[in-house]
Amino acid sequence: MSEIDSASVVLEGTEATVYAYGLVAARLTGAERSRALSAMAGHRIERDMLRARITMLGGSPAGAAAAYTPPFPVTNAVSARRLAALVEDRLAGQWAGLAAASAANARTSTALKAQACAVRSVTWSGAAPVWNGAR
Amino acid sequence: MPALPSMTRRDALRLGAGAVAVVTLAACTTATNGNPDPATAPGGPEDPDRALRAEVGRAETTLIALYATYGPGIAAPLGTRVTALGSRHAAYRQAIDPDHLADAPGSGTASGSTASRSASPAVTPVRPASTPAAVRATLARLLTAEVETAKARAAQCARATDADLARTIVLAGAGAAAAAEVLRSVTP
Repeated sequence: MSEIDSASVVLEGTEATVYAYGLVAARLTGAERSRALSAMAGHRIERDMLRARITMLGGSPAGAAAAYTPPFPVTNAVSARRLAALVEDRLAGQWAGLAAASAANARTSTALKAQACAVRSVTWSGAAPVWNGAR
Repeated sequence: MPALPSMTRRDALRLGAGAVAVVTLAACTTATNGNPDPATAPGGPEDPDRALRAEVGRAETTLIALYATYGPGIAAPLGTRVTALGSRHAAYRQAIDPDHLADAPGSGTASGSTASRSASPAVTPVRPASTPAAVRATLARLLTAEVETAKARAAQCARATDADLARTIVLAGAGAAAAAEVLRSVTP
């Protein structure tokens, strides 16, 4: 997969993650809600950087969908944490794909973004999958 | 309306077949990419990533040994969880260095690596960490190792010629970073 295609995959995943964190934050309170909103803000920054990266590579970044359907009902704090862990886990795998498709000088920084997602996934679920993005 | 990552039946099957996922990744790293020349195939004598595979494989072996040394010293249920973290490194080693190049004679340590063949899984187990302070010290040691591993993998992926290998190394680094977070969260 080309770098543009891989970056587009990450962009799509990031848009979905931003949306998911809106659902997550709505079901959490206190420090957890703040953490969700902080993560959402961070992903928004990454989204903007990804759009710039795709444009610089000669591609056309796709816009976000108006809404995304969660894979399960997000009705309480438990399901909210589960969704946050899931989207971060999958996004980590997508960043790994982009790192592999990137030039050598961009791989390390991209790999660190995969790591950041993997760490956030653990903070929501308490568990670390062996291979991020495998589910 | 696009769907967020869904827990479909397919996902459930994937979750229930973690070993399959490992095998799949391992297969990705050993694919020949259409090149029938065994010399340049992954792990082959002329594989441009041969030294990198050996270097990472050796480092993963060291981590496996570290967990084998300190994990059994922590009482269950925490010890069970720590041991499980250590077993992940066997999966990473298998995916990155399936031919055990790290164990091959003459596979010297690459520059910048401090991994040593002397740190084998046969290291003598230490005495059980019977006090909270000893448990904390043990977890801190493992945490430091995972953090350093995550940093190392982020750098090493840039040296991979094969994109599949680069991705696997990135994922191994993400796994190490995640393991470090787990260790942080369980440290009393």
